Amino acid sequence: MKTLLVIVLLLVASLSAWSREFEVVERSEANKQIFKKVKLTNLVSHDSFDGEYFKIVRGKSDEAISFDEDRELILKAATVYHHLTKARNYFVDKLDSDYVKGLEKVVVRLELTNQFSELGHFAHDNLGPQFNNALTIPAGQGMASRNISPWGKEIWFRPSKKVHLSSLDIKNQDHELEGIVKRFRNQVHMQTFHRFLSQLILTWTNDNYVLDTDSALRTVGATLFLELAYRSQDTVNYVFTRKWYWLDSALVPEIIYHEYAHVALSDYLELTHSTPIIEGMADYFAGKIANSPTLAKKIKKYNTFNGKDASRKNEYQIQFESYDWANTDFVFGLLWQVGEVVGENKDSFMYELRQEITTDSSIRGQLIEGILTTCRRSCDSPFNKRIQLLKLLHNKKL
Amino acid sequence: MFKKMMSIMLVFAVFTVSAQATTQNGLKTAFDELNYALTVEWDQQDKNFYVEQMKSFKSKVNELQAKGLSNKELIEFAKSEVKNKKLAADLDTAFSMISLNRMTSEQASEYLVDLVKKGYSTGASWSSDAGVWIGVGLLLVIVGVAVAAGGGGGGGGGGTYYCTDRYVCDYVCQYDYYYGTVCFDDCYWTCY
Repeated sequence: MKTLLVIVLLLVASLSAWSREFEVVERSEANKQIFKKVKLTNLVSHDSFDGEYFKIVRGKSDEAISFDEDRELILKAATVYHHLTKARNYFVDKLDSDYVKGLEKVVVRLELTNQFSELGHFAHDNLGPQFNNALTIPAGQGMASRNISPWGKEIWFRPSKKVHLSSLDIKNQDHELEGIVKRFRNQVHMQTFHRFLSQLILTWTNDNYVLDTDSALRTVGATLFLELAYRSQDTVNYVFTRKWYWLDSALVPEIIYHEYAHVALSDYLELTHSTPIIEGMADYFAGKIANSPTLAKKIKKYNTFNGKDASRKNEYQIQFESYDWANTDFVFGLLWQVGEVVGENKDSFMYELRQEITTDSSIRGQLIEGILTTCRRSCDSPFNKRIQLLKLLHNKKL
Repeated sequence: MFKKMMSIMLVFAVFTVSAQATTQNGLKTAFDELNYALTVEWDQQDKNFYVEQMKSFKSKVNELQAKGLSNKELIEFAKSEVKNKKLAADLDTAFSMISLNRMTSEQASEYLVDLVKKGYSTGASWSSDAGVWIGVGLLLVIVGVAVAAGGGGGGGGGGTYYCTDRYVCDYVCQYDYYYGTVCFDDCYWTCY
């Protein structure tokens, strides 16, 4: 009898979730990147990253990453597992999401370069390998005729790859310094130069006109100085600015939150493709989980390029509706400001908002309509809040 | 007599609907087979493989057309396969443009592929992803339909398929710490 009891106890212990300590990438109180030892909870395996809610695998494998793998991969797996758990807890504890509570285990793939194939799960290795990104894929039915089994929703983290910026044909940019100098040159400097020329012409053509020599020399000096600065700025930029781009998405907490938010919102927002709406909503919840209006910043060891900022003062432009601009932070900023107007229950407000929109909604049409409808239903003083929201939308040129 | 008439009409209606469903299912199966072959099996280098798959797809579509699949159904099916609804709506305009401008099949396929290559299911990603639209095969067949309607020339829809290497660019915009909004051409070689 005693032996049986011990066996049963051992069995229960082996089947129940347990925790283990790992080093992960975290944020400090000042939102800086730090390394920290944390306990990973709800693990169901004693020797791999297989948990009750997440299984972390490498590439196309179905086996969870072992705790004996190399240090770099362990850091990624532990960081991803830790932040996914945090993101899930937010939706379960704070928003009481029944949908998230009922989700099946999410498979999370690290270091995968294959494109997503709706039919075959993974496209051929040679079909445009992907780096420096992360994505969430919809569940698939598989293809019985080709022995492709069905799969659930998955999160994929691409490996990082150093890309020289000169290999990207960057165009049409007003870089901060370059833009300022260019505009100043074009507007102010050319005007003063024209004034100087007209003064000179007046001196030659009008006997009564006396040229102010000091003023003329100042104009010429300033003009030459400005021209020199303009001509040399490319060299200055080249010396002082970054030349390489890379993104290790599995080590950036806000990107992990962003991807999980896609999963948590997928009962209404389809995961088939990126749009400004679906990305903006995921950004908003990533910001709330991170408790910060900035995403993927101050983490230059792992990300040298992208970063999103809800406090950026952007006005609406028609191109923000298009696919090409899906990952800019206009919708993120807009939702953040809407949240400030809504006040205390902003998180549940935003979660409710997903019911009013779809992945393909437009910003100017359905998103605005959805915000106002949700407010009519859920704002604490709907009339006043709706007026404030309309004012905000007007200021954003929406 | 009335009962008999009604029964005959019902039988015809059921037969028509089921025949329609069969051709639609056949098209979906043929399309999925082609997509699987070109995205999962094809090493992206063996051009003969590409040409063979396209020929086989075209002959299946021809069979379905012989069984009653109309051009309109073909176009509607293509639209239903484009996941991005805004792009799907744009397809109507695109087909009209091809017909009106009497584009050649090469011009038309370039125009259409460029329009819809981002419309397929690529997942929701953190930053812009140059996802390859993999419904190209179906499009090329439809291009044939649209080109024929416009009176354009070329062989894209006529049964001869060439996998032509093309250097294509996607316009991608991202935010950057230093530069603000940065747009650039993400260019690569592809074949259609």
